[in-house]
Amino acid sequence: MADAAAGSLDKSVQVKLVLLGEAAVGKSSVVLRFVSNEFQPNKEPTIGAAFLTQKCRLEDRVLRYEIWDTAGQERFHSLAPMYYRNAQAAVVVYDVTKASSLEKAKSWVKELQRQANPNIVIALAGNKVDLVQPSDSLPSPSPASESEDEADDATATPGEAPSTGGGEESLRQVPREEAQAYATEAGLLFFETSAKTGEGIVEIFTEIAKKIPIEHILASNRSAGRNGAAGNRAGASRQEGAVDLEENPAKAKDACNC
Amino acid sequence: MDNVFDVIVLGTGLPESIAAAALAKAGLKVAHVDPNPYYGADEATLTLDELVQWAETHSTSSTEEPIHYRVDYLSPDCPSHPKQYSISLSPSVIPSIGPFISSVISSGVARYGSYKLLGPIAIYRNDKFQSVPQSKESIFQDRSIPLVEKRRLMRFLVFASGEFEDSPELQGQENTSFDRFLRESFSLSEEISQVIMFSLASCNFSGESTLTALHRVRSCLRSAGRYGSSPFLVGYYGGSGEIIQGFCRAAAVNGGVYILGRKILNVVVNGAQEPERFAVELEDVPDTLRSSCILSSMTCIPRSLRSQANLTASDSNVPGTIRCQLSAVARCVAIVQGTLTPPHLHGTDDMPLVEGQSDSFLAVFPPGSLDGGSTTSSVTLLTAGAGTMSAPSGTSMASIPQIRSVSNRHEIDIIYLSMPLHERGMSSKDLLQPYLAGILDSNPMCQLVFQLFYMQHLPVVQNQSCGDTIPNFFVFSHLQPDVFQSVDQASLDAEKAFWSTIQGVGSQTNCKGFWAEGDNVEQDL
Repeated sequence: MADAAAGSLDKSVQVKLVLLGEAAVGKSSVVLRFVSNEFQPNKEPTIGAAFLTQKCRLEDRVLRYEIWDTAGQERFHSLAPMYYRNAQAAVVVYDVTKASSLEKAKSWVKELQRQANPNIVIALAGNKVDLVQPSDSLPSPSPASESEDEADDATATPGEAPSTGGGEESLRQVPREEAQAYATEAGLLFFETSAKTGEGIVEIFTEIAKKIPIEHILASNRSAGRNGAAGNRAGASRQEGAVDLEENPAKAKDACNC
Repeated sequence: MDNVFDVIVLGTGLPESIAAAALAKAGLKVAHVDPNPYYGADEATLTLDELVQWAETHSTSSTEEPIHYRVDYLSPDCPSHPKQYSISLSPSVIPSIGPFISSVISSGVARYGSYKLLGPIAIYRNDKFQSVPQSKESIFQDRSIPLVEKRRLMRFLVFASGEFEDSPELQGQENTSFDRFLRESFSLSEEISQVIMFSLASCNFSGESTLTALHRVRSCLRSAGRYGSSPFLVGYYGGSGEIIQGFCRAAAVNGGVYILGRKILNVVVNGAQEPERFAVELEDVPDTLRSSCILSSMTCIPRSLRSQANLTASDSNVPGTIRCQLSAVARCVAIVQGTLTPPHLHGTDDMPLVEGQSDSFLAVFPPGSLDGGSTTSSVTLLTAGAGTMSAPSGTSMASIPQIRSVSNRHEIDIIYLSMPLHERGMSSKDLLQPYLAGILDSNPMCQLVFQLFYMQHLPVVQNQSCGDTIPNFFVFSHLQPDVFQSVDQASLDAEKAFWSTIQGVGSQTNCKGFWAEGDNVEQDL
């Protein structure tokens, strides 16, 4: 690992992305939809995973997202500073059928602005939009939704039948315009999404990718290689100059790399 | 909320957090609670503004707590960019081989953090820092050691890195003072003996016993070369406090529930026939947490229950980890603009930083080495800077006019000083000020911008009464603050507590934490 120039191995740039939002708004589902659709349709659930990785291709670049879920530590406001550390992107999720979840999302945005990297790209995602739209009027389901539509949305709020059939606009508690206005004012990307149908999911990650200042990341990684100081470290990946603890022949279980 | 757990862990110090991660990994339902709004308890890493706040709340000492602090001096002004500092309440280095690093790797926590090799280790003698050879190779390079002395030193190092337990040299000498052993059995000079005692063997005082010290020398010698020239690693962002967050996240991804910043109102012990023997009431948490087992730091349980807890200390017969009983540690955190000159190996030219080496270095002041300093205790100096992301880097400060560019590395250094003590009552500022002044005198380009002096008081160790303890009520012995050894000790304590808890819960799971068998979650594409 020692001298590999930042991200040179596969020309992809590693980007740490953190998820935030109230419990049960569908954070994990959004990620599962994004991650498992692309390459691994039968991927196991995230439970027990440190973070998930997924590549995102743009015309001129490839990003490798390292996506961190809250692991429930947001529930009692017990997220560690380590969680925000070096995150270059964040997706703050709320539930369009629950007004209070947008308020919560706003407080997470504040928290990010206080704790996180000042250049962080933040996207606001109004999830569960499938609950408030007639299914036939979905604006062109994203390619992500092609394969399976099964019970992916594990955290769907109990008591609400997700299979609405007709457009239950009355379930909507957060008007699109209101959230859009807030996002514009706060400088956030904004999407309404459905982890269940896949609507808007790929778009979020693609738009974030476009907005990430890749050159900045590369530049700071390079300077890290030289003097050991860096403004950014891509998630938990090895920083230039750092010691890789697991790269060690003395450790029997890791010995076989062949 | 589902409020019934297999085990409630109270306190997010290092041993508690390692144990919580292992227990969650073993499939137990874990709740992990800390009354502080930050992770890490006595081993926390704080930003500078948090540290100032911490110091303000500890300006009066609360003798109620088993471990308590008394701030003796706090700078009135806080440097700019306080959030870009990561300052450890318990600065430590990580031995490259040992129980702690094994836990970090086998738990998968390694991937949450970054590490570098510690830079030079030095000893203060004759009014200057002299670099300590950390490997046999570097002894050959050291031109300051006379040839005869080199041979003796090599003979000792070969002895100490081998299986010395049954060697004739050691017979009958196990409890001799290490100092005497070095000089009489290996004819080493006073100077070399001091180097060995206070750096390689990390003794705090003169007169520590030979067997204990030899074990520490051996683990130090064997650690060198695993990741590079130094036997020690330093963690990014303040070290152990950051690694604690990694262990807690590991526990959370395995289902652990985290509640920080809620005062522990009460810990109730129910009758033995109750399925959930324990109940923990937290402020602003409506549901009482219940469990069949409690694992806690001493600080987190009510005074009245402390005598009934089962102390889970790692086996004190494990050689090298024998605790010398300290009653307090005087500590200083200072921040300087400008970079402290790291000592370089005596007789060689200034060495460039090698791959993976940090800008941190460690120096030991043996007892009596500094005019005006202690004649009985050693003082350990550890530095941290932008190289481990512990302080703002020079570039990010460049726009601030009053900072002069004095170094091509970076421009802020954090200085940690710690002095272990057998007695209480003195002022940390009186004790450590001469050392700080000495360091700054030899680095005239450095300008002091912040200082905090405080005393960490440790509890008098209770003799475990075997009689009336409550089953499944486990409490960690306090961690001996020690720059070299505390993380390994934390890991041993955590492992002991893990097995006690598994046994106590009578868990039917297959019970592999990460000591029995490491299986990292492999989710890479």
